[in-house]
Amino acid sequence: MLLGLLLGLALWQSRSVRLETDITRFLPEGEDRDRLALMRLVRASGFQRGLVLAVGLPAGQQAPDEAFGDLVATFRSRLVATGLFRHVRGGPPEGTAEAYRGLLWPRRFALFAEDPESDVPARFSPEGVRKALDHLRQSLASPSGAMDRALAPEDPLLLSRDLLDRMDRELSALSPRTWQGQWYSQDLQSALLLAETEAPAFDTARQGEVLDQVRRIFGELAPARCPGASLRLTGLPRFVVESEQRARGDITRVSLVASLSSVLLFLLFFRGVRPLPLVVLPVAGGLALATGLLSLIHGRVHGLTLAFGGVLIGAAIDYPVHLIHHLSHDRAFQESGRLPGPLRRSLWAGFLTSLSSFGVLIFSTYPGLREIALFCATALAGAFACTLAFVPPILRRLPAPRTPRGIDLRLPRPLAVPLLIVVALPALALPALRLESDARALDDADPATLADDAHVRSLLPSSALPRQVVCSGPDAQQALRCNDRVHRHLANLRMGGQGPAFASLHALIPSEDHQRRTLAALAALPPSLEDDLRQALAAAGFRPDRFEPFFTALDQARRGQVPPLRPEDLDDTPLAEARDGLLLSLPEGWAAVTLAGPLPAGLPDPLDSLAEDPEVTVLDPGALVSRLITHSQAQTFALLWVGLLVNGAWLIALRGRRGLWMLLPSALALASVTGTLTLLGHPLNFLHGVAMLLVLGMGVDYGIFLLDAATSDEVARSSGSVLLAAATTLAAFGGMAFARTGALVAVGTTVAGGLLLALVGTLAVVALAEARRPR
Amino acid sequence: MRSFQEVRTLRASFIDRREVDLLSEPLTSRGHLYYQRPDRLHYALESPGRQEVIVVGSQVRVHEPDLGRSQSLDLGASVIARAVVTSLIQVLGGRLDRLEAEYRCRSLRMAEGWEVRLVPQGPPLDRVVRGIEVRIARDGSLREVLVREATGDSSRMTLENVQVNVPFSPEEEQADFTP
Repeated sequence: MLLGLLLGLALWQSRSVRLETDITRFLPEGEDRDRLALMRLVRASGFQRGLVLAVGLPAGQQAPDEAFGDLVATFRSRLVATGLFRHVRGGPPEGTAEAYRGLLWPRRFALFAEDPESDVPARFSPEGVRKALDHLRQSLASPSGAMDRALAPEDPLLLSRDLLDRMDRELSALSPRTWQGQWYSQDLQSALLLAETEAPAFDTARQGEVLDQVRRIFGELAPARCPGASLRLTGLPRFVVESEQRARGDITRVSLVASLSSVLLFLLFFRGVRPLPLVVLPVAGGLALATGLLSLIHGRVHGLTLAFGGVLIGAAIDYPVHLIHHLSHDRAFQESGRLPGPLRRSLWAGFLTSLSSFGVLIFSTYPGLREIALFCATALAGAFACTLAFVPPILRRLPAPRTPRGIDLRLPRPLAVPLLIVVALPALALPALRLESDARALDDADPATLADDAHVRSLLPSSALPRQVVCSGPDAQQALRCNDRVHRHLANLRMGGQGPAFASLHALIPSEDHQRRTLAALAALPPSLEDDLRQALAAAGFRPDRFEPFFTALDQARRGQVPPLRPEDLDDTPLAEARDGLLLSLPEGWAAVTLAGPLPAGLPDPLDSLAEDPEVTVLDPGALVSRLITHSQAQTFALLWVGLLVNGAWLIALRGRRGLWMLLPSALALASVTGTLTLLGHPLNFLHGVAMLLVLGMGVDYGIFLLDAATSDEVARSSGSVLLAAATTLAAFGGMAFARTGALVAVGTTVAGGLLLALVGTLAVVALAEARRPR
Repeated sequence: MRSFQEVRTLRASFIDRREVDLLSEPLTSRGHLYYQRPDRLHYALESPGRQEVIVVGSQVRVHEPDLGRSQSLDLGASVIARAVVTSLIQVLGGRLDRLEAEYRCRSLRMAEGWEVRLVPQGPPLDRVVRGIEVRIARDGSLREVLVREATGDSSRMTLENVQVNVPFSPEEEQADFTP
């Protein structure tokens, strides 16, 4: 009654459960997790959002021509016309020059200096002024000096040119090359379009339509307008859509194979499907309880948790199957309704060892794995409780199923030792075991998709700046002050010829403090500055009276009448994109990000000294992801050892020395399946580790059920239940081994292979242990 | 005039005298010019400072060896810059047929040859150029280009040692016209 009530509540609670897909829950808690989460937030350019479309020139064509330009422009306008996109951009936003003129030019005296205390006196020294005026004369003599000529009356020292050069040097990495107003790859071989969809990235139905339309429109246009032009595209929507299609196909196939094979196996064993509901009821009850509990605690359940929950069915059906085999023809039970003591003890031992196998995951530092542990433990406990509560009374009321009574899987003793040796043999390869360290190995995307992704990303300039130097602060200005320090450090390294390339927001928005220091340094120059400048202009052949706008602006700056440029001043301007890419508002404060080039091979990292600043974090995505992956593997395999030890302790406590015989087949199977994967050249990842815990949880049950059997008849019944449980589990997991999703393949091959080896090992151990028992 | 309009390649040294309102005296600069039809130009300034401007189509590279600086530009990004550079290239190539689309053109017969006067028909050119005067020798070779800018400044480029329609070798093409 109580269990029924609990199940009802769980079902009611499960109605509101939300499915979650955030993969960061499978990252460990702690600094690295926070770092990776931060890294995901960095949007250095719009090219890291939405779809990036690369239209390639026809083979053999050296440079874009009119036909190609027409194709790209028409393609873009046709995409816009679909209404599926928030925007499709093919070049820099219009109005950048106006934004510069309106925001930065009036503040040029506050923005021009990299190091206010040294740059300002140097630029306004007699030598600095002479050099600047020489430069201006030279520029005026050249055909490219039109801009300097236009700006000179207000800026004869070309301070604004310093600012523009710095912005070009340090922010150009965020945008691709522009040619005839269109974005191109550096070699002009591919035109680039950035398309941001109206639909969210994870709305697979609408994203699928987007991808179809993009390919269809290009397929219509290219042959007519520029034959031979090609399209390659990448972006989260493509990965999400293809991943969903792959997973949906896999789930359909695996479910179909598992369901059909289960029904066939039940037909074979019971010569009917009547016992099937008795098996389904506990499993469904366990899953409902687990879903209800997670819904109550978190309000959501992760997709991977549900996937592993589905896998758990293989363990949960062991109990009802075992009961059905033993009780269907047990006259004492039929009369009294009481479970035989040895049978109850076997079930409890199997349940406790399985529970401890999954339960060790609760000690993982990965929230996602803890969620799996909680879900599996609850589902297993629920299934076990439902089995004990519902199966015996129903079995008493139903006519006995036609159970095959004569399955006796005991092997001849002489076969036992050779069989154990064969099972254990692959374990010899264990010393060569490798853990996966390459994150891409866990990425099961289509090779063509990965190739397109790598190609298109290589066309983007920001791909040359993979590292991130993050300055944190409680407010934007503190983060920008830290960013000023980082910029100074990197600029000094660059001057010394040893620093990495970098892209910094400092060129666009230094902190207010930096700007005030620049104005203060200007104010501190001698009062005779204006007279000195007029004399210098005359000496350089200029007419000082033509520069009155400069003197007026300089006077205002020296009196501090220049408002500092703040991040919010860039709102609704084309410059906002660069700001938003590198200045992030986070829940706990602000972060200003500098992108930096890769670590030079074999040299000390010039960014190391930055890490001493408590406000600075240097992130290397490749190294960070590899560290997280390696850590996850090491921890999962350590927990596997814990699971083995806990199971061993349980079994010794419950069964004495015989408990070790019960554990031996599963331990051998784990060593053997690990050795086999190593022999096949597969590095092990954390999914293999979790799958091995499943093998341990289910495999130990086989040993318990068979070795607990006291009589020949009980061995035959246990053999039947173990064989059926193993056959249904192998059918389900064997099907997963042929899936297209890498995670399912890893789990399927490990569990199917491990359980098969555990079953064979158990039969060998039973032959050794039961040799003296009369048949 | 016909030979002026059939220029396919041009090499010349030049003296450019610029009158700039900001300066008390005109600026004089020297260098070499290389032109190849239809849209390639190499402007090599040798004094007072060194600067090279290479135009191929709408791609421009400005190289300043004294400053160790090199910059690539896209003329497509600026309507005005594109119009001015295109005008200069069309003048060097004698493409009066193309210039007539943007300028009112008047040709005058002079004692020493021809003078072609170009006045912008409207925006965007009239924002930066008041007029261009092109002087052509009797043999059809370009001698002088005077550009009067909207700011009041002007530039008089006098060409010397003009070689017309002498093909560039592949090596010269690579060296002179790689943007």
